[in-house]
Amino acid sequence: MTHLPAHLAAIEHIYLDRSARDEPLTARVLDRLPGLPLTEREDEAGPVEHPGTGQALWLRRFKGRFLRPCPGTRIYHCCAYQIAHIGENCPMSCTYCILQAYFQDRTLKVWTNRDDFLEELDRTFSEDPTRRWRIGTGEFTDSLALEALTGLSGDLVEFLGRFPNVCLELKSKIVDLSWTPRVPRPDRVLPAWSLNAPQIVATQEQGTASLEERLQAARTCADAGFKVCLHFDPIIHFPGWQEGYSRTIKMIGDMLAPEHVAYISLGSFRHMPELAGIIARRHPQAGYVHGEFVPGLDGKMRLLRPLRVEQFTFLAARLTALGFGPALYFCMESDEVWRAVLGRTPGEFGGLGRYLMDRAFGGERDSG
Amino acid sequence: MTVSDAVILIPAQAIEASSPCLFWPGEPDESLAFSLARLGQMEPVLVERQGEGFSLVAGARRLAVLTDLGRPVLAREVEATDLEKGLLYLSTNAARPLTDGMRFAALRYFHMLLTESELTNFVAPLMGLSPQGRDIRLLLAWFNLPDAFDPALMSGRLPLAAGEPLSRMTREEQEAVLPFFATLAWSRGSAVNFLTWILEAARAREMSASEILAQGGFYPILSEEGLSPKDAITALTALARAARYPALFRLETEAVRLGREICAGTAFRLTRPDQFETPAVELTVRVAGPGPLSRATADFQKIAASPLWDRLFNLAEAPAEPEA
Ligand code: SF4
Repeated sequence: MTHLPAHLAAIEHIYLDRSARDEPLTARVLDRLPGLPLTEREDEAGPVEHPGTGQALWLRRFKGRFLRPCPGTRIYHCCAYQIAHIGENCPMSCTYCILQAYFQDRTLKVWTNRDDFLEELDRTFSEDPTRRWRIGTGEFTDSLALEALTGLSGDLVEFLGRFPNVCLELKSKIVDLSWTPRVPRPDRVLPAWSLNAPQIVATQEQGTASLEERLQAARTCADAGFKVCLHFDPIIHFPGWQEGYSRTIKMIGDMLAPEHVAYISLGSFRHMPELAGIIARRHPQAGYVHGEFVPGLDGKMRLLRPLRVEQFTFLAARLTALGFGPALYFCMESDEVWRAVLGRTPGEFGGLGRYLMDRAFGGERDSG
Repeated sequence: MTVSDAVILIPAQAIEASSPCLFWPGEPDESLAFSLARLGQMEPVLVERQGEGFSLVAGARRLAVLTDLGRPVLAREVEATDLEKGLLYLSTNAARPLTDGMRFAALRYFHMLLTESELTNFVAPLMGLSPQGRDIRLLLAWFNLPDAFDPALMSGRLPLAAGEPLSRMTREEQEAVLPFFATLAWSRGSAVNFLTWILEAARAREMSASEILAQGGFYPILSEEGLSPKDAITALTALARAARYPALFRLETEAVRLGREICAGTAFRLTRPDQFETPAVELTVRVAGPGPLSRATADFQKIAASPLWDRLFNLAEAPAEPEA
């Protein structure tokens, strides 16, 4: 049996839709999880209701659109990337995880119809080879959490070798570099890690890799010719946050140089109002959820603006001092915040989406 | 259990009314006294034999009135277990309007005699509660709180809903909030807000609720002279909100002050609609005719010339000051 990483150890049962039985991806997953109880079910049987305390893995075909725009808003600037939908839910358990509000269950869903997925991407990206795309798989799951079972990121990077107009971001909190040897063009893949203060990683991100491991992996990728992305998201307001984030930034400075990094996002913890109740119930240790959150203009709860600006200013100053200033951007922030912290707004430099596109493509300007 | 068919007449002094099964003691109302005085006793009380005399099982208020009137009491004799006596009392008093405190008093009696599931499924419906409802859950959870909270609930000073934030506190924190419910009578909203804000302020700062209360100047309000109970509750609730949202509270206070100064002497009202997410303000005025309209126009000119606008617009633009 393949040696499974620790974050997958809780998987105790596989559910398999009949229509997914003969998919090559199914065979691969089953091969890597031998000996686990398996229940075959009709496609129409409704959602899996797994009675056990461990995790269930559900292999099924996905019938919707795989590629969709990241849902931005008018008021807060969105990074304008496209989500490649590879599955749902995550084996790790971060107290702040938005997926707790998106999905009722914790079943790990893997879409097995990989050929449909790649065909859709092929159609979309071939249509206009001059149009550039930034895509990412880490929206409804962690990009690499199930890589040891699915190998899907490996398939994807190999497939995207045919599309120099596409840059793929693989965002994760674990370390799995098994896909890297299959990358034809490292300048079109952005390995990305979410970072946080050490106390937050230790107490609120159960099952994830340590900060040292994430940054070491980022360095390995940088040495292999990749540009990496770092995401301070969600930035948490907790007692001692200054010291915590300073330590993480120092670790970044010790491990990476500015030329290794495509971009670094700063995103304050924000949430749908109902998520706060879920977090408070499930994770009593998550005291940060009782911070000073007020309804934002998009209906999500956000930390009071001066508190956000204080945190952003603190992080931005330290990252800028290390030379990472040009890589910084805010995830879903208003002009007021951009101006207060970085002294510029996305409108003044041609829009955030375009800026990130240029940085993702190694500084190549969009001709369009 | 047996209840005799025969009705006996006994002197009121021969009946002891201190059995724990009389869990809803209370003063008889005037209409009962009037009816017993004018019409006499229609319904016998229930008693059980106790040595030479009797112990009352149901009919405490009738007994009290008849004692005052100096009249003998019509009674039926029962032989029953403690559980049956409680159920008899409950069923003969079921028509009374029940408060959460009364329900808790009843549950406290039955708590030693029945399991939680029996309390939920059999006793709760007798008191008009759904076994699946939130109230029975809260009532049963109340048993995990220190007994010192019981009098406040039973007297109605502390609403049942307060049990939810209370149950999330440590024992030490529960003891720290107890003095606030010793004499003040809280509405449901105020009590829940007060406790929740204190608790959340503590969790957010990785402190205990006791520390928040001690450092936040809460206790002196309890002994402040000249403060009515209503004003004390208003002051405590405001203090709790300030502890829960310190930066927001500071901004709101300053915005209200500047808004009042800017609009002083005019009919305009100034608010910040976006909770400081933007610098925007809203000015509102109500006019009902050309005269008020032209006055409002003049007021508006005056308001626009205020030197305080810069401060108001820039109120939330600087990073938050560290908390004092
Ligand atoms: S790693 Fe990401 S997707 Fe997984 S639980 Fe944490 S926040 Fe959620």
